[in-house]
This record gives sequence, structure tokens and C-alpha cells, in this order.
Amino acid sequence: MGVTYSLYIAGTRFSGKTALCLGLYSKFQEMGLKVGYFKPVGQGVKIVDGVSRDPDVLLLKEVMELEESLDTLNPVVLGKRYLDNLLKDCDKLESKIRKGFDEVSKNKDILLIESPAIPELLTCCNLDMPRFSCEFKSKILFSLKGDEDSVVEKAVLFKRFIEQKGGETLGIVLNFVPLQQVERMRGIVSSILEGCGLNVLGVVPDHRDLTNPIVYDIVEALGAEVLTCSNKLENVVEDYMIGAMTPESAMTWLRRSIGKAFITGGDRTDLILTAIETKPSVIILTGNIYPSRSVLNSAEEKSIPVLLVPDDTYTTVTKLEFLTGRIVPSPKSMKKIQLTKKIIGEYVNWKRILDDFVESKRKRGNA
Amino acid sequence: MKLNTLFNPRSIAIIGASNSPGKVGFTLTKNMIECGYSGEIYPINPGAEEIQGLKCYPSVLDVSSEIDLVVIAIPANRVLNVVEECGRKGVKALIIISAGFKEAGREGAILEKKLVEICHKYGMRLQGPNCLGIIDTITPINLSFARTMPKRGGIGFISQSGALGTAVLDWAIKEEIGISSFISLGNKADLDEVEFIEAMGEREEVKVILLYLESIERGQKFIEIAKKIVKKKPIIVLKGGVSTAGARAAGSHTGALVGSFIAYRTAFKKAGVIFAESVEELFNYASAFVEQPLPGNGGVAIVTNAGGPGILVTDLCEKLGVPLATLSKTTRQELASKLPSAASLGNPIDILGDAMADRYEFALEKTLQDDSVNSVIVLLTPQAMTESMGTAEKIVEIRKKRPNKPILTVFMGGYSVNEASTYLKDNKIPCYDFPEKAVKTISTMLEYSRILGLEEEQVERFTDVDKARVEIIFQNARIDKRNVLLPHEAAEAVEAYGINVPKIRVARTSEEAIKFADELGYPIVLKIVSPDILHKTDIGGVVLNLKSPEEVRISFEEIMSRVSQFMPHARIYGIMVYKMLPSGREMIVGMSRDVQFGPLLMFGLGGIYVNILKDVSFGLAPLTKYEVDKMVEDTKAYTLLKGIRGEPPSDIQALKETILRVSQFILDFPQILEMDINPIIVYQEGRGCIALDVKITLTLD
Repeated sequence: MGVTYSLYIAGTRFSGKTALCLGLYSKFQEMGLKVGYFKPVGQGVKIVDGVSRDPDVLLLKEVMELEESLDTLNPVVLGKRYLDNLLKDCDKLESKIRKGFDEVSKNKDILLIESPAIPELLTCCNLDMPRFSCEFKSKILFSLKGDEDSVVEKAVLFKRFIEQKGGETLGIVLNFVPLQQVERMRGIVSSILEGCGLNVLGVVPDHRDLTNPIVYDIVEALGAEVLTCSNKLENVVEDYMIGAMTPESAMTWLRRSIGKAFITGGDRTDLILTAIETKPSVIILTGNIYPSRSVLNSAEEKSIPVLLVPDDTYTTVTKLEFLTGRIVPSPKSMKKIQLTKKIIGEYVNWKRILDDFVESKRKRGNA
Repeated sequence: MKLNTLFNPRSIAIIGASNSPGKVGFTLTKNMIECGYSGEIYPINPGAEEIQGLKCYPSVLDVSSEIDLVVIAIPANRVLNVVEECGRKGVKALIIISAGFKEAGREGAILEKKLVEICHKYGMRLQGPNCLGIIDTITPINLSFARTMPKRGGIGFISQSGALGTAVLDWAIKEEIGISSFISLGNKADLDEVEFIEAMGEREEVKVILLYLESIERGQKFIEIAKKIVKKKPIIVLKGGVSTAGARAAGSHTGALVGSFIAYRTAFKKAGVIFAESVEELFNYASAFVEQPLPGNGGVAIVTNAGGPGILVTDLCEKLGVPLATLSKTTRQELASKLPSAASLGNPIDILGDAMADRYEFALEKTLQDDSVNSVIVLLTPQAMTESMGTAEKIVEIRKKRPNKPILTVFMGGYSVNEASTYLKDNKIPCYDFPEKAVKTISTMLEYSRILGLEEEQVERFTDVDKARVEIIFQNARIDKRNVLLPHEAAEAVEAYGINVPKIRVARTSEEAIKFADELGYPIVLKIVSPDILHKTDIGGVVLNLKSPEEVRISFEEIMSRVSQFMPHARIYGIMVYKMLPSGREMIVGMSRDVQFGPLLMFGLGGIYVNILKDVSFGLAPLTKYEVDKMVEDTKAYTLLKGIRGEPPSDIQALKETILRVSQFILDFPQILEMDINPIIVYQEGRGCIALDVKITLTLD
């Protein structure tokens, strides 16, 4: 243990951890390094072949073509009621994680370890992230959402928590920074963080193309039938609009909205045709009302995907709410994955990580 | 002439010609043979030697002579092959009756696309597909389902609905209305209404063009061509899908965006196209234009044998803005000399219930001689002594003697006026059963006279504009991926086009706000800048009348705290700081780019009233000075602007100039989809106007 340089990427829910892993993974790989990925404790949301899996791990495995099995990459998957058997299974979990780590770190130069979305998870039984970071001799890189001043408090709190358990932090990356906050994060927020001993390794502006779902994600989330343009499912959805007014009143709003998913009943021919003129990313017809053929012709002509869903409009919107504000890990969206790599390469100070890697290698060499 | 090969072909081939009655190809062939066409007819059908007595050919390629026009009535899936053959044969025009194209779904749409490609390749023009053909009574040709030809006459009729066209045609035949040509547009894959209007416009025999339309795709071209043709002959249009439900139905039917009715009305007005509200109106107007001279200056005179209907006509004239003639003293004296003393000599001229034909004759003669009269409506109700037939005969006689002014008649009643009314119609005098139709017709004729009298006006361009500055602003928004400009950006953009706006600064901190306030001068207004907050006043995002730096500081912080409380997720760009303006008349100038007709401008009473009072008028850019005058004068707010109850008039000139500048601005930047200046504050005459709040939405392509 301890031959491979490992970096623990820790952060809260929807803070861009997976994106950071993805970006750094491909960056280092590009440089000819042997890179590994490991998520000791995941949270199971998706069931694959009867086993609940962490979608982040599924994504990384598919996109980076990881050789290791899912059980190795992610030995522990917790459900919502994970406390039930925890005390009984504690030892078993610990050894599973160790075994997984040993396997993935074999023949690797750099190992990226992703923390669960609750960074303090399993503190109650001493199987938490800081503890393993000590054991694996990993440095910790925070990935936090930089949308308001209070991110500083959160970061410092985590730092103290880690230090108290003997861990070591490398720095912090501020993700999803809204455009108007970028200057603030780079300026006063960064300087306060640095003052508290946290190196700021990146201020990554919010990139809507990344956090917004694509039409494919919507098809999946709604179980929709694709009526036209199944080749346009990579369209990015940036906004949602519900059509219930007259076309004349709707026009102004339709035009103001970019990359919208337009949701209305299949019988609202007038509205659908008006919406088609304003180039939406997708039209979602609710209530299983099939539109007229001529309407589909128009959509086809303008290359706009039309989906049909059985739910009513309210239920549809409720289901869609879950998709916004995060990167939906969908391997279908190659554009998003390319963009993630590009953005991480551009805004994250990976050279600093590389320096640290070289430095630690040198130290080990000396030892 | 344009489309001559369609209206007047030297030879015609009928693909799908047939010997079996009940088939479309049978009817087409039979109609062509019977209509009196003098050119060659070639039936095409690989399964027959002879069709209805004519030699039949397996394909157009087997016909040795030239073929001008081919009509196709075979199943859609076989159409492409024969069209390709037509192309190779050198055919000039096609009419495709066959259905099963765009209207039938996706495969059909693909088929139609290929069809158009073949036509373009060989330079053939195409009417249809999915249409009900063409009739021309002048040539004559009858490539339609109509069994008999309509009477030859001056009406050219273009219909987007084939079935409606056929039904109307059938009715016109019964009513003996003279038609010169009938066109069924079908799917408009190639030829559309614009081209047929142009062609009929060039055709001498067509005196008036009628249209039934559900959608217009090339709106701006339509305006351009119609405007030209209207100077030669009236164009009257009946538009289907004017109601919300109707638009929905039309959309499902044609698969085309029907568009806003306001845009259509505005476009028709701009082009000088007359708008009919029913099929009946369409033909009432048409007959009047074909049969009657146009009214000149003056007013309408009403000759009646009953008080009640006379009053009704007078009411309608008032309502529709038709001026009533004031008879000259001479006319009144002459009328008084022979009419009973109880007769009313004003207008309406009531010649009393016992009026017989000779009294009508006398009164009509005298009225027509009066220079202040430009047209006469003759009203007749059947009473004890009334001679309806005799009166009709007298009217026809007078018409012949005095052909210069329109005479419209209203013979109210049923059986007792039937014969007289038919006699009048047969002799080219419009006769209606109720007064409203007559008044509407006169009103329409007056409108057309006015259109003819309009002089061609060039659109003036302002040269003191800074296009580059606007481009930079738009570019910056594009980089940020914003399609709605921030208020200060929008203000700067219109300022570059010479529109007066307040000086706006955007502050991010209260210190900045105070600095700007000191620079701009008090009292100050603060307003939140956020694309996510639409109703800024409602959440306390606007504070007016701040008189000191301390007030600015407090309000700045209050706004920020209210916004973060009520709209925690809104994107905030800062707070706008500008000097509070003195009050004036609040108006609105807006623009929405219509999908069919382009930039549709709106003017009206602004501020918070716009949604309630809807006192607005519309115009399509580019606007001429005359059109802007009309736009402003068409609102009720105009009275307010002129100054009421001793208030001084507002600066209407400055307002009109602003509208003209907006018109140029949106034409120069087609990426502007919508814009609103609400309010634009208009001050007293000579003190100008100022665009207080400007909203601009851009397209992102």
C-alpha cells in the first residue's frame, strides 16, 4: 500500500465531483500516466442486473472504459436505510474497501478516489472519508459549489474535520460558479480561503451545457415515446415552458426562452406550431394525446424532437424537476463528456496536482 | 403573361384519363371536351386505345407534338415517375389533382419534396398537389370537377380550400355570377397565391381578384405583389382561421402556422387588400366592383319609400364611417317641386309609402345629378301601391343614362320583390335583401377609392444612427448566451438609433449607487436588474424619488434584501440607477416579428393600462410617414395626445419620429425578435419624448 499517488475528491451532493474525476482522469491519461478511479462508498440509485449501483461509477466505467469490475471500483453501495445492518457489517465493509483499493491501485501512477455525496458519511463507525484518506495516504481535494459566500464556511469546516482525523488537504475547486459570481469567487472568496490554508485550485464557471439535461435524459426520466427526430436526442434542455395560453400570448415567452422543453397537450395544434417556430430543444406532449400528422411533419421539417408521455402536465413537470441543476451522468451525451474534459482542463489547476504527484514520487524515491 | 401555360395552354395532356364514369380522370376529360377548348387534348392511359372519342397515349413521351400543360390524376405513389417523364418531354406546367402528399403524413411530405425537386430540375411550374384544378372561361378550359362552366365574367377566384372553391363555384353558376378564372391552390408545393395574384393582375379580363386563404407563407412577398396589383384592380380576401379555435383547426388541416390574425389584418391593410368576413360578402363586394363605377368625392344618398329602413341605413353609414351626402339647395328645391309635401327632403330622402315607379325615377334622377352625391342606395319595401318590377325597370334605365355613380339597391321582402330583384341583378345592378349588405358594400368601395388615391410614399431613412454600437451590444449578449438584453443595454441600443433614453448606470454596491446618483443628480430611481424577475414592482425591486445619498444607500440594501428573500434563485446583475423623470403621457411602442409578415409594430396607451384598455394600433415595417400618422390617429389615446380640456398638446411629432426610428432599427437588425418601449413618456409639444423602459429579445442563431 502507498505506492500509488492518490487523490481523494470530496464534496457535497451535486458539487461536480464526478465531473472533476472525469476531467482529471482524461487529462492525466492524455499525458501518458496510468490513472485509476475508485469510489469506496457509493449510494445506490440505479439497479443494474438486480444489484443497486452508484450511477457515477457506472458512468466512469463506461466512459473511461475501466477494466475493473463494478464491485471492485465501488465495493460498498449504501441505500437510504443504510444504518439497519451497519454495526453488524462494519468489519466486512472495511475489508471490502481495502481489498478494492489494493486491486485498483495496482500498476497505477495516479488513483482518483471519489467521496460519497455526503462527505461525513460513516463517521459514526469510523469508516469515513478522512480516515481512509489517512490509510490510503491520499491528499484531499474539495469540490464545492461556489454559488455564495458561505462556501468558505463549509470548506473550512470540512478542513477542520479532516485535520482533526489526521488527514491532509491539497486544496479546493469551486464548481458551478454563476457567471456573475465568478469575479467574487476569484477575488475575495479565494483570498479568504487561502488565508484559512486552503489552496484554490480552480474557479469553474457554471456551464449550462453541462448541468442542463439533454433530451435523451428526459426520454429516460419520463419513459417517453419519441415521435420525431430520434437523431436529435442530444439537444440540450435549458428551460421548461408549459403551454396553456393562446399562441399570440405565448409567442413573447417562447421567444425569450432559449433551449426550452415545451410541454403541452397533443391537441394544442396551434401552440405546438407556434412553439416549433421558436426552435425549442424538444416538445413534450402530455396525456398521451397524439398530435395531428401535419404537425409532426412540421416538427420533422424543422428537426425538432417531439415526445409523447402518458402523464399529465403537472406530473411531467414534477418528474423533470429532478433533472435540473446537476450533471446528469448519461453516457449518451458525448458532447457533455467532451465539454467536461475541456472545462476541467481549462479552469482547474491540474499542473498543481501534477507537481504534487512529482514531489511525492521524489520523496518516496529518496526514502 | 405570367403563367400563360396554365391559363391559356396550346395543348393539354390528361394523365389518368378514363372511360369509366366516377373516376376523376373521366370527369376531367369530359369537362375538357365539353368546355369548348380549341387546343389539342391528349388523354394518357397505358390501358386504353381511345378515351371518350379521343386517341389515347400510353405516356406523354408517346405524344409527338409539344404539350404545354399536363394534369395528373393518378395515385400519389405513381406521380413521381410520370412527372419525370413530363420533364423529359419538355412540359411547361403541371396541375396535380392527386392527394396523398404533405397533407397525408411524413411519407407524403417526402414525396412532395421530391416532386418539387423534379419540377425545378426541368423548369416546370406546378399547381397543387391535392388541388381541385383550374377553370378559365376566357380560354376556355375546365380542368375541374365542376360539371358546367360558370358564366364568363370579371371575377378571378383563388381558393386554398378546394372543396370550398367547388361549392362556391357551384353556387356562382346557379346565381349566374360571372367568373373569369378559378384556381384551387392545394398544397402550394410550388405555385402559391402570390404568383396567381400576379398572373391574374396582368390579365385584362379579370376585373377583381377574390381569395379564400387559410395561411400565407411568403407574407412579405404577398404584401409587395398585392400592393402593386391593387392599383390596377381590387383584391378581396376571406381568411379562414381567424378565431383561436379556427386557427387551431386550420393548423391541424394544413400543418402550417396560421399566425396571428392581427398580423394578417395589418398586412392586408398595408397592401390595400380588402377584407371580407364571409363568403357572401366576398361575392357581394366582387359583384359591386365588377358592375359598378367607383364612388368619387361626396357622400351617399338614400332614396326610400319607408322611414324605418331609411333610419337603419343611416345608422349603419354612421357606424361604418360612410359619409352621407348633404343635398344642394337646388336639388332640394327640384325635389320639393314634384314630391308630396309630406316627403322628407333631407338624406334619407323619404318619398313615402305610396311611391310608384315614376316617383322613384324622378327622385333617383335628381339625386344622381347632385354633385355632392357620390353614390345612391335605393331602398324599397313592398307596400300597397309599390310597383317593384316597374321601379326596377326605371332604375336600369337610369343606370344606362347615368353610368358614373354607383347605384345599389335594397329590395326588402320575399315573394313580392323576387322578380324585380332578379331583374336588377341580371342588369348588373346589385340588389340586396337587407340594408346592411348595401352599406358595407358602399363602405368597401369607398375604401378602395381611397386606396387608389394614395400616393406612393418612399420610406425615409435616418442617417444619424450608429449601427456598429448596436452590433457590439448584441455581440456581448450573445457571448453571455443571453437573448434578452439587460435594460441598460437595450436603452443604449435604441439610443444609438437616435431615440431619447434616460442615462442609466448599473451599480453593484451601494457605494457605487451613491456615486452614480451624485453624478446623475437627484431625485433618483433604483431598479433591480435581473432577467429572472419580471414584475419588479411586485417584489419591491423598484424605489422612486430618492432625494439623498443616504436614501439611495438604504434603498439599495432594502432592494437587495427583498430580492434575496422573495427571489432567492434569481440571477442579479446589479441595480439600475437613473434620474427620476418628470411625468408625461405614457405610451407604448412595441414590435413582434411575425413569422409570416415580419416586423409587426404596435402603438398605444402605455404603462399599466395597456393590458386592460387594449387601446393599440398596428403597422408592418417598413413604415411610411403616412402609415405612422394612421397608427397614431387610430388610437383613442390620440385625442389625449392632442390635448383635452385645456391641457396643452403633447409632442406628437417627436413620438411619430420615434416610431419611425424604431421601424428602421428593427429592420436593420433582423435578429431582434421582439421589442417593447413601455412606457415611452411623451411631453408637451416641443419638449420631446423619452423611452423609459426598453425590452429587447434577440434570436440566438
